[in-house]
Amino acid sequence: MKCAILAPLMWGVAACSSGVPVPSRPTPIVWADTLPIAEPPGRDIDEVLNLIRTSVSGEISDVIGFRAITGKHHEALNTDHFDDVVNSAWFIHRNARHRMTPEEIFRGPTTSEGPSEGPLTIVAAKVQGISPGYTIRDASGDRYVVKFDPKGFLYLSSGAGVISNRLLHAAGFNVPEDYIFTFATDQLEVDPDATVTDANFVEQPLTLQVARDALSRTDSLADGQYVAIASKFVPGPPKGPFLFNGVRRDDPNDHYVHEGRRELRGLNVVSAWINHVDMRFMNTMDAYVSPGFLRHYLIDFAATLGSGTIRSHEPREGLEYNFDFWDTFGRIFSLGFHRVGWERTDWVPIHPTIGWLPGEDFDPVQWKANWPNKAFNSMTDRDGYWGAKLVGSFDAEQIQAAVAAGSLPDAWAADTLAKILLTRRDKIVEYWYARVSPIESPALTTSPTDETALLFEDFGIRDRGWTAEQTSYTWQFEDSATGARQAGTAGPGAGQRLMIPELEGQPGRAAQTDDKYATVDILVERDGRAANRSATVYLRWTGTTYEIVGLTH
Amino acid sequence: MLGLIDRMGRRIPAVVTIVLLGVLLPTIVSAQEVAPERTPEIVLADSIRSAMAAERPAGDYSTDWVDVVGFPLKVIGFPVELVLIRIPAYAIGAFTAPRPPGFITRTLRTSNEAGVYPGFRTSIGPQSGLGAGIFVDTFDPVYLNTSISLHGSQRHQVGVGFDGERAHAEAEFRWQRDARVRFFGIGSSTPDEFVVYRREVVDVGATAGFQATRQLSIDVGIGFEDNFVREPLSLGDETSLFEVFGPGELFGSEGRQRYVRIEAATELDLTHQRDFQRRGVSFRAAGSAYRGVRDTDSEFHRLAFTAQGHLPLNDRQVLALRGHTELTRSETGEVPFYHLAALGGENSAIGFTSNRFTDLDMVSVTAEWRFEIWRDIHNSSRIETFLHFGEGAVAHRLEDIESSDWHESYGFGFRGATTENLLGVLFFGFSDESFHVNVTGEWQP
Repeated sequence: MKCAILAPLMWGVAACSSGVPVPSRPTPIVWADTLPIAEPPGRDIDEVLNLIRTSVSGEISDVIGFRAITGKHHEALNTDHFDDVVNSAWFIHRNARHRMTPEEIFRGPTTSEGPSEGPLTIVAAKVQGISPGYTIRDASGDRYVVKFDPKGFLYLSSGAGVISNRLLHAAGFNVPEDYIFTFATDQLEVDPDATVTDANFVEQPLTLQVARDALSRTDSLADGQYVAIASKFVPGPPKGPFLFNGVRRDDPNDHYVHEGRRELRGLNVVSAWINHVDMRFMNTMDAYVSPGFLRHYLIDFAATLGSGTIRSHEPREGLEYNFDFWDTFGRIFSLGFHRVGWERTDWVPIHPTIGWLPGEDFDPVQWKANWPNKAFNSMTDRDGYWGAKLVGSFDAEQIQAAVAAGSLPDAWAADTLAKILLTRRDKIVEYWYARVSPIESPALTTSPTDETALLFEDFGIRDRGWTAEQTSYTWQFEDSATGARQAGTAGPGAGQRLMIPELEGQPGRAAQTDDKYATVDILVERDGRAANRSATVYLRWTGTTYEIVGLTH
Repeated sequence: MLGLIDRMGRRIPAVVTIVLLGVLLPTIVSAQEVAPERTPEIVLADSIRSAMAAERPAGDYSTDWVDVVGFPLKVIGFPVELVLIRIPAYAIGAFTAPRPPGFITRTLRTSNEAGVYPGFRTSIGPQSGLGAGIFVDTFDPVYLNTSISLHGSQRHQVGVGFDGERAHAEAEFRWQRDARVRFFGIGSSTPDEFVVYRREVVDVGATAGFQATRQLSIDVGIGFEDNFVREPLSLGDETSLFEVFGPGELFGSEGRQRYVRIEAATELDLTHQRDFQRRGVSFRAAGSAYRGVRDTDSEFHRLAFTAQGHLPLNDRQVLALRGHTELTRSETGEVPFYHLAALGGENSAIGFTSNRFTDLDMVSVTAEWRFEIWRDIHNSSRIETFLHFGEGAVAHRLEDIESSDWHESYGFGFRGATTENLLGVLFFGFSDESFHVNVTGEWQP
């Protein structure tokens, strides 16, 4: 009986520990999740229930779970042989793969200038709750969700929403077309069929007066016009949010459990950069797009950067969950003396259009969203580095272009916000690039003197500003087929090039066709301080030379 | 390998296959009669997905040694998590999820709009109870307040109140029945055995108040009360007061006592409230004189002094200190036992039940260290923990109190509150004679 129970478990252990070399493992297939599927029904997930489960139950499970205790988190499932993801319905390589121009960043996902001139027909309105808004149809028939800034903070949430929209788009995520736009009240019309939901959740006919009353919750511009963020409806019918764990069962394309998706794990780091503390399932959306698959969107970035949507962000946000089980219990059992750093932080909004966003005090390790989720909690160093690469791909000019899209009216505020984002970018890069050896784009080259060298790009030098003089590499070559081994170091100033004699191979040796590969482990040191883990370059002997077939960090 | 096979019999790579299908399928499909439910491109996509299954990484993690070693932890932890976390989470989610309001919510909203405000209070502990009430101000300034508890206690008030900017005045008629009140005897060393009684009161009074400055207020009032102590409504296995105290042994337990009452109070409040945190000190002095009327031959007066200090240790911790004393003096020597000063309960000595010790005079000092452990994101509700320590004594005369008369009491607990309402208190009270847990939930609109 015992054997019957243990056998499948041990089989699993054996299966997982078989150590298939990376280049021999299956690799994700580009656009595989964009195959046509039957249109799934929309879904409405119970927000409160889900948040409580993730924030309390999830946190406890994580702590009493042996995986969390040992820190042995699974690596992401959907990585290719070069430790990256492929384009999919979740993510498209953009700035980190091909540098976008500042103009492209500024334009982001948008295809127009926003709601067109002329009448704006309100087809629905949300006048209750903390954040009022409209759903409008412009003269060209396009639909937008329109939300306003809180009183006294014009451009706070709208500006943050658009800036983060541009940055997330350039990073590679699917986002809607968000615009800053201004309108006059005489442009507003109400659709005869428009309704508004009252406090009793009863739909009532919407009147123009009720719609205009919602504007009393925001400020107008000096010329009497109003400013808002308009988020264009994504193409295709919405099908509810996606979760950060499990798969969507009515989507046959949804192959990888979401907590195992590199894009969602790495999103944690991108979220930290733009302080997207409200990154939770309710701010995501699946849309059934042509020719008939679910595309996965991130939506609503009003609570990013220094904006808390209806107010400025506060120091706790980004450092402690809305209900942080362990910090709360820490306060109880320490009689209130357990006080984390943010509780001592004196703060005031930097500027009404920025809110509060730490720059020099930003700690990429401590950052967390307001609600936990399984994908973020499962993030490993490799995932974090992958996310940091997205962040590190932005330069100052690109960040300024994204900030410009937010239309902040005050030049000092725009400049300050860009500087803070740059500072946060540097801190993210500094931390995550030191968790791994950030070796990319390995290639073999033969020098004029017939010496074979391993060339690579050190992202620490490219993105962080570490110099070649600060950097040295310790390497170890090993070919499991021939048993050849060689190790060496390339001292400071060596450049991104390793001279490894063994790479020249053995003339006459037959091509290696089985699962035996050569590897070069490279450990990066900066100013004598070694990275947390080495990178491994995989090579296969082709019969005449080695070719590079894989890379892990 | 995944892929279509071309005319030469060669396999087309998976990526190319998918791209080709993406381009060609719409054309293929448009040329075919589309089935009503399973369109050809979906059927084809299904077959491609099946073929891809072996081509790409697994969609979920296979078991590894961490799962094997951690399996017992999961087995042990699952029922614990189910009971302590998941089921409560489901319950809270079910109650609080935004959804069209049910009958009860709609009724409550309708009644509130009509000036009718239901409320409830429940207590689980040594004196468990459940009470519900309704406050009505439909015809403001006239109000009606009526409440009833599961034990049969009732309170019904009707009155008229006027609130000005700096002054207020009320006149009220009240009928109250305390269905089962505990009485432990008089003195500082009474045993923890008690008897129970029922008290019914008719009270007619008028008060007026004046806010002299923002900090200083003065209230005066006059009233008439008719007290009647009787057998409790239900006795259970408890002992009636009348089984222990015979005629003439306990003033106030026989017949009715009717008093005319004159009262005055003044308060100096130097505290400041910011969000949930109070800081500063306040002082209150109150006096009331009772003169028996009709056949009640009794005359006495009571004085009460309270000093409170809220000393913030930081923005989330505060030390709350409270000193309170009550003095009862009688010209005739007769004070009904239910008007004696009492020690015990949540406000004076949480390690004891309410009215645990009674006598003419009482003094208590308490210190409570309160620290916030959680606050919601909109600063509208929070949970605080408190550590409580109290010392109190009763005596015939304050100056007669000896060291042996002091009773220590300590405990800790949690309070949940919104900026407008106290929602609930859970505390654990300890003293040299008892330990008890008390849970109180309250909703007063």
